[in-house]
Amino acid sequence: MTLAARAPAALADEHLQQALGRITDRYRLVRARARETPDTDDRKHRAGALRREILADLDGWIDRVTSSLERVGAVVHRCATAADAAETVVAIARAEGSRLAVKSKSMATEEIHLNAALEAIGVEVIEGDLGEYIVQIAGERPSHIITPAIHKTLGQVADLFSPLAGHTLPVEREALCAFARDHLRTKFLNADLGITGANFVAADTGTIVLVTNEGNGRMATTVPRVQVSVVPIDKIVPRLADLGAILPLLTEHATNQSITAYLSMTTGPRRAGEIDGPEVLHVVLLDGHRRDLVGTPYEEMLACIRCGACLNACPVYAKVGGHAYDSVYPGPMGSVLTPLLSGGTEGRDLPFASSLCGACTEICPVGIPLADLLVRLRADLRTPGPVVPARVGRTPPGRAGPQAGPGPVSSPGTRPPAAGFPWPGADAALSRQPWYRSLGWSIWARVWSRPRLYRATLALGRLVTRRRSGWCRRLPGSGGWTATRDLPSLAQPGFRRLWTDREHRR
Amino acid sequence: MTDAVSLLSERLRANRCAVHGPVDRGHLGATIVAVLGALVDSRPVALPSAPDPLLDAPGVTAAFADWPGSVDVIRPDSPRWPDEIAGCCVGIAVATLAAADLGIVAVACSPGAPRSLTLLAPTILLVVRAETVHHSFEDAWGALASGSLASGALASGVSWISGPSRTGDLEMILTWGVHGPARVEVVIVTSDPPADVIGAAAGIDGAGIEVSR
Ligand code: SF4
Repeated sequence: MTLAARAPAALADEHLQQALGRITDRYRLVRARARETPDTDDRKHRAGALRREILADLDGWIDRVTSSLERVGAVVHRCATAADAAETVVAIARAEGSRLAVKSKSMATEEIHLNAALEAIGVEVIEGDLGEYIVQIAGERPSHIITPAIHKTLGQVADLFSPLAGHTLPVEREALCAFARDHLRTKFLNADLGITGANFVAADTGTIVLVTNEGNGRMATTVPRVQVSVVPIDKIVPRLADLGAILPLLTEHATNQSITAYLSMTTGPRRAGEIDGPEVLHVVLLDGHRRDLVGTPYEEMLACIRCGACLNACPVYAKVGGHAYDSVYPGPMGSVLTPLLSGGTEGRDLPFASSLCGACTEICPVGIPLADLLVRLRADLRTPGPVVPARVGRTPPGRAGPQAGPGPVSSPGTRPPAAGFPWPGADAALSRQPWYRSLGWSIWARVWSRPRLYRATLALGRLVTRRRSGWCRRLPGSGGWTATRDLPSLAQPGFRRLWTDREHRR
Repeated sequence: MTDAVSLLSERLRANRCAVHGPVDRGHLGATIVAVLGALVDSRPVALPSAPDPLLDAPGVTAAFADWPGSVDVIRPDSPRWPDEIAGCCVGIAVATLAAADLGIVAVACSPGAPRSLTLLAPTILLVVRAETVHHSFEDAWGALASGSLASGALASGVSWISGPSRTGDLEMILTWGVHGPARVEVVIVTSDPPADVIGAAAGIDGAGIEVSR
């Protein structure tokens, strides 16, 4: 089933549509803040360059982070696949005799389907983040990477919590929050296994950094005797100090906060004389097809800081919500990541479910050219099997060697944009269309690659549509583009005309 | 008051902390007692293990001893700690440093000041020394990250705290007080007390205290 097939149900869901309106509001606030802050572009470039520094030598940085983590007393497990990572955590839980695991919010553990794996060996797993907990009780998956239960109304949350409380809870935020706090507090205090992801891990100090508002990250790293942190390798930053520039950008773009309530640093297990914090700290470094991306145009995705801003910006996400994507990561970043991280087995339709409006690229705090990557994927996914992108010569925005200081300030995403039409693989793409449509596209491509003919067809179009918008209600053969809208009239006068007039006036 | 300290106060208040001071060391004990007076009930107050250079200075211990209605103090080195820390009404800790521009305070854990000291009670009180306030978050973070602090190596656990625990998970409207403390009080203290104040501090009823929310 594709996103297109799941969309109608999402569009008909009134609650969901209401909730998604709030997502759009957040996007507007985040965008306004970015526009009003004078140094936003500089900060984005700097953060983008710092995030891309590991790409020039990812394996080297994995080695460095491993030795730093080991130096401060953590046990490091390197896992090639999501399945390996889940098995590793299961083995740890078995060996430690864990019975009750509490988690702080983590998309990486969603990616490796950890809860199911632990439950299969009889470990009770409790999500500590309120949104994740709501989704867990509902038996669903997060529909947003920052606000996992965005699709749930207060009434639905009350219905989910009331059976646990043993009485009917009022449909009231404070009361529901208070119930969750008390209920989860008991779990936190009795847990013997704490499970976290990592927002970042620093290669120089071996420090794991968690960013939270509720305190679930602090709970999971304070009380349980054993801590396991599942850390995808793209979370590595060369120096802990780099995060001074990155963390505020993350929180501004994720929740429109200048900083979250808590930032937690964990550097190894508890030390001599300390009475809380984990006695044992395991770090599971997860590859999960990320190393495959290095040296390809898709390596850009390894700079992602999981802020969720591109989800909020996306007009498709804003209409269908996260579940319609049926993937761990939804929205634009999910449409790029899902086929790549699954080795081409999941979400192959997702890159096509985009209008390529570019709002995601514009908002992204680390300058990932999401729209370009979506276009490339459309081409690369035409061949069945895993995505095998062409390796490109790497241009170095801020790719300093490991010994260099903070990378030079340069623009992320400055590599040449993805080739336009015809893109690599376009022929294959066309050959899968009905003959009349591929013929149409071929003619269109030939005509519009000649400037004169391009201008002539536009002039004709303007002439035909000049009276009013919408006289053409159906354009046969356009594949549904006029199913829910009329053909608009072309801009009168056209851009070229406006431009020449303007030049004349000077 | 230096620029950084007044900016810190302003930003912490914007982040929903109550900020008091700056007071000098001689008035710290009285300030803490005045701030916490109404918040302390029969449940214990958690303090770092003695001797804490700030909190166990003579003026502060005297103020605690004179606490109106008396106060039950527990400390990490007491056998009561593991069972009773979750039931405390207030946790008090001394911050490692602070960043003024974002209004955030960092607390490093140690054997005498464990992680739970600032996590489990519904109210926490953080004492910030004015000389540890950095103007920018990047500088403060960098100072901690590169271990350039007097205290040396990076602690095994550091919590940066900017305000009360909160969630946006219920219909994206902020709701306060989830897993962490719902109330954060910050007392800013300047470095050197005038000599004559130290002895006299015990009985002072909140002189120099600025309370606002
Ligand atoms: S791709 Fe960019 S905007 Fe989207 S989650 Fe990642 S960092 Fe944020």
